[in-house]
Amino acid sequence: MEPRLFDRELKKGSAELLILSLLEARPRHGYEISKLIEQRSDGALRFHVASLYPLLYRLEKRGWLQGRWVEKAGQRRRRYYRLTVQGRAVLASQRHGWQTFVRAVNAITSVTAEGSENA
Amino acid sequence: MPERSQRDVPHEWPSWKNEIATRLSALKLAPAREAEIVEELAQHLEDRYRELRTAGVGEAEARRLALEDLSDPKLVQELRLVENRVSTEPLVPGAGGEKESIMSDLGQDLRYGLRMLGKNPGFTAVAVLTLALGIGANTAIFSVLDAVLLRPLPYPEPQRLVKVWTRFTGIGLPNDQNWVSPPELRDFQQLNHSFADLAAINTGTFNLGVKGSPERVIGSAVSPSLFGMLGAQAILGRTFVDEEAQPGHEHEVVLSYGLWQRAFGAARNIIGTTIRVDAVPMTVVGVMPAGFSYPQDTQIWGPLAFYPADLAPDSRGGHGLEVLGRIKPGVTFAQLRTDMDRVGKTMIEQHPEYPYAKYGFAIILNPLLDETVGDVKTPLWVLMGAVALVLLIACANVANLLLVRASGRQKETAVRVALGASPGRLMRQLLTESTLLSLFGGLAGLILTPWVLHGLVALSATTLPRVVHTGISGPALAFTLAVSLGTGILFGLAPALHAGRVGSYEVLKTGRGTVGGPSNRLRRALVIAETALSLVLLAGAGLLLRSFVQILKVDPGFRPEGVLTMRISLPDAKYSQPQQVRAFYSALLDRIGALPGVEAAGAVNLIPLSGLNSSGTATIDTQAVPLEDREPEVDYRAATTGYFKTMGISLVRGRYFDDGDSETAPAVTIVDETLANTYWPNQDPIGRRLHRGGHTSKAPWMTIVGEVRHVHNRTLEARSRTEVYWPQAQNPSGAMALVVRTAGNPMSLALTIQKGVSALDPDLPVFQVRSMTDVMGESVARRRLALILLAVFAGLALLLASIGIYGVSSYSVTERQQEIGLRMALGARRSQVLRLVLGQGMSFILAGLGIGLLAALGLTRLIGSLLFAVRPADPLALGGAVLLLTAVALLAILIPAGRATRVDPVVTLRYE
Repeated sequence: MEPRLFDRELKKGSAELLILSLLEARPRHGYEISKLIEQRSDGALRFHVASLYPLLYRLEKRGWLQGRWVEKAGQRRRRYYRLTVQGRAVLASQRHGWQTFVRAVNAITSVTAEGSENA
Repeated sequence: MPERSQRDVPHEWPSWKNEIATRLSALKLAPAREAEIVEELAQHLEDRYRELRTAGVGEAEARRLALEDLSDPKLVQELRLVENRVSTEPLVPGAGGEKESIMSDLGQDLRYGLRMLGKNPGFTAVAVLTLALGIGANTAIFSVLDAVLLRPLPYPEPQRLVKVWTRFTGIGLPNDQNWVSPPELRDFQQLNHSFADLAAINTGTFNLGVKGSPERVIGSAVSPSLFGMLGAQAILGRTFVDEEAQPGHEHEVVLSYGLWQRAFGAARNIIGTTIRVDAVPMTVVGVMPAGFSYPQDTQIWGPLAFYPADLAPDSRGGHGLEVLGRIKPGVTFAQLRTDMDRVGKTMIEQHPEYPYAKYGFAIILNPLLDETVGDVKTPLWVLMGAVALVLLIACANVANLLLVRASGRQKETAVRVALGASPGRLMRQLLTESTLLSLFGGLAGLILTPWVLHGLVALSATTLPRVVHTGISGPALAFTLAVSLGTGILFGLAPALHAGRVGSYEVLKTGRGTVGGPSNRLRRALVIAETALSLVLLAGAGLLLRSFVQILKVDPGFRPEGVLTMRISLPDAKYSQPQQVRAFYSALLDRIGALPGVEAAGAVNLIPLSGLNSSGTATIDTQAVPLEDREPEVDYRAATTGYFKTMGISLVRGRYFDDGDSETAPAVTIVDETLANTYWPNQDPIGRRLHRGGHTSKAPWMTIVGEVRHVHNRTLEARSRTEVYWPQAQNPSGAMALVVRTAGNPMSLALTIQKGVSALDPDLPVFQVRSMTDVMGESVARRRLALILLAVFAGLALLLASIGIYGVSSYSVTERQQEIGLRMALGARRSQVLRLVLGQGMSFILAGLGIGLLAALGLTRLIGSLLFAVRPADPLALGGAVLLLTAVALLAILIPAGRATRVDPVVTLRYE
């Protein structure tokens, strides 16, 4: 695989995972999601309008999320996203996959030259 | 967009929306959807703006910062991807999300698939070759099937053309089907209400004298209406007019395109010229177009005229006309049948003098297409079924290959799933790959097809009732494409379904898939299926082989070995007197008999198993049976004195004809044992009498002087009608077949004998020069062809199945290499390990054999009509197929197993 593209795919994959994780506890609206990503990553990750909403729509189309307009007293209505059953399953598997992947990458990248193992 | 009360809207609100709407306008979204997105994004910008303001940012700056996000071109790009489903290509198919454009997914899958196939040239080559064999065989057989069975006949409204036959079941032969006599044709014409037209055809062979080199051509005397009925027009000149079919007026001929080209150099001034047909001068009035030949292979047509004698009551039994009819517009086939049943009943009533009632007379109506191809229908469909089974086995093999490769690609699959590919998307990619493979296989198959077809046509030219071209037709191309696509999906489905279920994280963790998982179960299921399918084909081929052997065992009633045969036809114009005919044959046989290498020579009007017959009613002089049983339908043969000895037809009682049975001597006859046993069981028939025709006929009595063995005149499969011979000298016939028994290879004498004929009459063509063994061979040619083809397909199936079994066995042994090593390190003997592997492998083979046996028992019924003296459940054929398959499977399992046990256990164990 070409490294540049792999990077891109990686980010895309992880972005999904981030959003699904944030919606696990309760439904949230778009702005809230973007704030939480920014806060919890200490500003390392930022999702702007341009990347966040298309991704939300994409996940919604896949049936992993469901968006719903909610009106609260004294506020304008907002669109809240919640995880679907399928989304929960995907989250579980992606979370597992991600952890495994990270472990695998760590195991390889943290290895200093030990000489080649007998294949 | 939903209505919203004015108080909720802050002063900035409309301008956010305008900004957003301007940017989204390029997307051309549905208005409702666009409003929704605009509202949601506006809410986001508003939140951001308020936050910035709260943090103390100035109004203008906060506004600029909030709008900054919107100016990112990614927004429109990404939204376009999600909302309009127009996708760019992600690197790994399946990682892009499943709802993107199907077309761009397909393009991407195709590119990816091609790359994968190119990366494994070995795998690709094996798979493509396997499929090419399977698909190529299917295309070839389909081409034949299409050309022969499916394509409509080349006449206007061919479904309205019907062949008319008469049936006389009472003769005692099943489905005894006869042509029509001239009086019967006249009855049909007068009584029916359903035919727009009825045409009669009388086909024969004629001597055509062209530029001193005589040749024998196939000619037909036909009703003038035949051409119009078939929508055929002459390309040069005209066809016949009704007046030309009047007695004494028939002096015109129409030539086939082929004959015109070959014998007359395609001369355009041929019309109006005179040619000699059977030494009679005839005027050429027309030339037919290239494709027209009805009846098949006709080279020259003449008008068919009925003389008063043809229509006399005596002629009612002369069933010598082929009759073709065209149904009136608006009349259905069922109505025609009802109408002709009525005609048949009327004929029985109107002609009590003819034994219609006794013989259970009926009129048979066969649609022309059925009539033309009826004989080859079952064999062709059986072969089509057989090649389909071969293709299924090829599919199983390729599916196996794909499964093995899928195991090798589990890691790749796992990465894709981790990156967000859905199972559906993965399956689609795998199916695209397998379909690509099968399309390549189909393409390679198409390249093979003309070769296969060439061979097929060469093998079967004489046994197929319609012309098959060796090129690839449009329907065959469409068929190949459909089969290729279907095959790709079929064999790609197993690996694709499997990939959809794969537990990817296990793979990422351990670097390999779980051992013995669903993939192995699938592989074993495929082995079972392959074994079962092969068994069905082997059983089918075995049954046909057994039938063929049984047929060859049939005693035809004569000894064909070493006998040469050829036909001669003396033209009436030159040999008008019986004594001329007698003198010619007597001189010829004397001359031939004196040739070195000739053991015996004789002549008969029609040789056995040639496909030609002459038969009619005979009347037996006996009081032992009621009158109506004294008139059997018998096969008549005129034979010379040497005929029986030359053919090896043995004498049961009495004597053969001899020179004393001359034209002046008392009329004598020889009958076969069937006739003798029917009328004089346990008595001596010698000295009894019979005559030709019914009991009212004035034909002279003939005394029986000999009884000979029954000869299979018509087919080897069944006994023929009872047989009556009379001496050629007493009933001279101009058209005879010579039979010559030779010491060596009969064909080596052919030229010498032909020279002997031209020494007597240089204008006389000799035709159908063949050995009697060849004649017998040709009578079973269709059966032999079906056998050869089915055997080839069964062999192909066996080969493919053994490769498949070998592949799965090798794979599972390699997977268990460690276990085998461990067992051997712990002291297991080689034979024990072999037994273990073999036991496991053979259990699947046995399952396959069981299923195959059941399927074979069901399916071989379908070829029941192709079998002879063998039951569909023939234990020898089924047992043979099981044994052969078991032996091959045993080898296919033992070879890899043996290899595994020879590996040093230490090496195996260290491997991990």
